[in-house]
Amino acid sequence: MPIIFTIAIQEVKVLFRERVFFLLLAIFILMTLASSFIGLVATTTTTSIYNASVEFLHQAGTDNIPANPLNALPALTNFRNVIVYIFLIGSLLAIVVGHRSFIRERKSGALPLLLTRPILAEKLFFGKVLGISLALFAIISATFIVSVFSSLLLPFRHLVASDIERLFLFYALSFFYLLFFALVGLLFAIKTKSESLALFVPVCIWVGISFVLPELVSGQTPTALLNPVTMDQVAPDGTFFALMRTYLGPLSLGWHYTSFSSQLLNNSLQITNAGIGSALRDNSGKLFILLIAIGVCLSLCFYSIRNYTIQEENIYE
Amino acid sequence: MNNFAKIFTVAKKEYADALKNRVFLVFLFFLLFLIGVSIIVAAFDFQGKVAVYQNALLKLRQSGQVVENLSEPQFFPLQLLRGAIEYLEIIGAILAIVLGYLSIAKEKGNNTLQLILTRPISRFSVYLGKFLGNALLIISVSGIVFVGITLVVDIVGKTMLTGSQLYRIFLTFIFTIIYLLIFFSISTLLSILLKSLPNALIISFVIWILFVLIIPQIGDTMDPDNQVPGGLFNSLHMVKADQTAILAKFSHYEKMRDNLEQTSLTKHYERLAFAFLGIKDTYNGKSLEFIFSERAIDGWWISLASLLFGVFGAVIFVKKRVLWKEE
Repeated sequence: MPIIFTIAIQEVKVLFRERVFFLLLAIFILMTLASSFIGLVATTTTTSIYNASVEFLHQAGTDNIPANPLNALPALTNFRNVIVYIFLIGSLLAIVVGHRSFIRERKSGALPLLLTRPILAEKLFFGKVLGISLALFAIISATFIVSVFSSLLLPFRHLVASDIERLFLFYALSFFYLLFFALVGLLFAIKTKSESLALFVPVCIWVGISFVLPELVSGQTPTALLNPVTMDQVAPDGTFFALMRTYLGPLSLGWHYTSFSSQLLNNSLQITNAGIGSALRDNSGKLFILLIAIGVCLSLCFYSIRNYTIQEENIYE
Repeated sequence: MNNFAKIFTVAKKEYADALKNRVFLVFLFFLLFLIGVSIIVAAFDFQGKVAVYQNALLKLRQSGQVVENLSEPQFFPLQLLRGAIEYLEIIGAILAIVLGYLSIAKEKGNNTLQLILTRPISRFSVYLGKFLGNALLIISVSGIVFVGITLVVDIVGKTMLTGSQLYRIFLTFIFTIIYLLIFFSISTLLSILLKSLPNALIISFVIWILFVLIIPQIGDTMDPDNQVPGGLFNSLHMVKADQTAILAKFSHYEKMRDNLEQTSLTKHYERLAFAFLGIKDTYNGKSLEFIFSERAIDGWWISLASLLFGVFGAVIFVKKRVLWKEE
């Protein structure tokens, strides 16, 4: 078996043996499952509130009452909370995956041995990236299956084939989003001397991408960005926000992810029930930026591994 | 050297060490930057709302329509602090986790804990010294943040804050310290308790993400008026009094949602801070007596949690037979 695959398989095996990784994974999958349940409880109660309001308005003599707005929402909106959990827990999990991938080698003392053989630096890099991708693919596949099964088990409106297709595309997009964060975790695990800094810097970047840039672009506070109903709200008017949108908009990966995901899951404030083709066309720029970001991280990781020098480490500092 | 002097020496060392630590400094500057940005964004957001109001007013006047029903956006300078409080909840808590982790990790990593404990100083004094040093650091950091906040609000809001407003900021500052000490104590406790330091750090982050982001998010998402863009009641054109009458019939659901939110210590801090600063409309312009009568429970919750985690950390530090064993 080529050495790259051996490294990749070893990577996945070791990762799935780690208790902390399992804890994060369990929380992530549980939250995905819970999000369907939360969506069901919330929509059922809201429908009851709507019915009570209609009765109240009828008694007050109002005749022209709008139809229940929940009925106009597509079936996929039941999964809109998953966007938030991938955005929050998924990306943090991905940072841990990338971080552990290299820190593990540094701490075990296997790295000096591996890097004494020059050809192994490249293979180590490709093996690690493949292993990380496989782990993320397994995580995303598990959540996709959980979502589809929860839609069958809970009394939701059933998903039709095009809904499943949209859900699939959403999870494919999520895979790339998580891969970006895993590579950021890997990069700082290679570059940074201390283990804590290697975890804290990606967390800083994560906060910047998830909250700071979207706030500057959209004017929304961090908690408002976690509300799936308003997460892709357009920014207020004004020169400041126009400037931010122009210069910081392209860098705002978190904002791109949530707005693209909202459109894929038919949860967008701007476009509801737009076709998949239209959603993909409208968001091709965002996807391109995400892929560029992944490409940049891959190149930096590759360069860093090739130039990695073994040093005496105080990894706990 | 008496016991107090020993505790003070450990505290002084903790304080000085943290100020030299890059991780801590990175997060401190990040927090200050974010808070500044959030206030500026809030000010521009308010300007945007004023511009929208003025445009609407102009159009209505030009078309000869009645403009009395249009309400002008009111400026409340302390409401600019919404984003700042949210960043204190998020980044402030990470900063406290960093301090708690580093406080134990540096001793374990350098194997200095064994050396310290060979000296005539009790484990409790070492813990107390560490806690005191980091608490002083949290007080200093919060002090810098809140002085900065006051200055930025003065400049951006083009207004001088009144004595009452400054007192409300001071109360928020006090409860911010108590809130941050919770995360410091959790992180310290886990770093003492767990054999693997990285696991302690990751579990601290898991607790952080649950308390700070996930539980409040679930509560917010379950709000019936948050299910439809624009709000359910707005789509039915219902006035506030009618909304309250309808929601009273679903009090069990609201109670369940509220109980869920109350499991998050961050939510308690947020409710208290938003009440003091008048960010939540219900408390805007209300007296402090009224706010305390309504929200004292939140203050008690975070104070109790801070105390409990601190005491628990001390007990583990004193009682744990082997504090550090190489993996």
